[in-house]
Amino acid sequence: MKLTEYQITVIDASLKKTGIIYTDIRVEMTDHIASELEDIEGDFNTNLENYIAAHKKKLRRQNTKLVVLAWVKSWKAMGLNILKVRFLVTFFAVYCVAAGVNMLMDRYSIIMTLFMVFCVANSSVSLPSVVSILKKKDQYSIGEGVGILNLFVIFPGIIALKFVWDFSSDVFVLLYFTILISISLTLGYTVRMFKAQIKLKYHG
Amino acid sequence: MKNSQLYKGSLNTIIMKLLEENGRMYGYEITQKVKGITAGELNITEGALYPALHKLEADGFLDVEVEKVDNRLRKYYKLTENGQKETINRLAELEEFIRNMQNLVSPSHKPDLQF
Repeated sequence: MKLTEYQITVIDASLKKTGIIYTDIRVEMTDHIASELEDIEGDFNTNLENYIAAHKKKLRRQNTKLVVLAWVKSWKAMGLNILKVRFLVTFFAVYCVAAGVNMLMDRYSIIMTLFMVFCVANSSVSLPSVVSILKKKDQYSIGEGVGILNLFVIFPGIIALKFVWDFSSDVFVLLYFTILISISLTLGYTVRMFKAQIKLKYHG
Repeated sequence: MKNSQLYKGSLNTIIMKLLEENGRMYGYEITQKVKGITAGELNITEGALYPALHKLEADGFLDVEVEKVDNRLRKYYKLTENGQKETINRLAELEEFIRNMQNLVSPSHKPDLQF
């Protein structure tokens, strides 16, 4: 017997409760469980409870496997984006602007300015992901996960700041910040790419 | 999955072969098809199937289409162009593997392989 829309939301809620957090994985498991329950006679709630009880550990293990796969896929995409011409253009543009600004400022000002630009570039990628996760709670996808991870790039950036003052040449300072800013921007592009793919997949 | 160690290495090929024959399929459909073909002898679990499907998708061998069916979203998988080429290679490898195993296990028997 075909399940109702309400019964589908019950399956989805059970999976959330079990710890299946990513939408992409939950959608697939909801359909799988629904198809299986449709083939079984008897009370829906009892069948669902039995299914979840029998598969809880397996579901969690599978969820972990799929999340790891999704992360690997994301970082592979990030790596490929770094190898693209877009990254080189971004890198070159950021370096040219930084070199131009460097001619107008002293060392202290240029380091602080570039550091601020890096913080803004980084936050513009990670903050929307944080907001999205807080707003949508358990509806998030791997795009948000990758966006959040960008926050961690900021820590080595801050820690390394104290060593930047000792760089012997301005060129090293400019290159250092150009790399950080370009990586943040590419990560932002990768997150946008994933979100667009997910939107296209689930919302046409 | 029954005799999981023996079947494990062939799971991706089984999935790709089914998709080659059926065009596009969803996860549960694949498990049922395999169960049907093997008369219930081989049961692919969700824990083995979905990671394999996601890995094949990540490797660029499968494409995904999502549709709303019976009040829920359903993910259909189909072979990409690369996936079709890869299926031919993997089936050829599997045929060779079976032939070699057959020769090792019972040297006098020549199997009639049909993929």
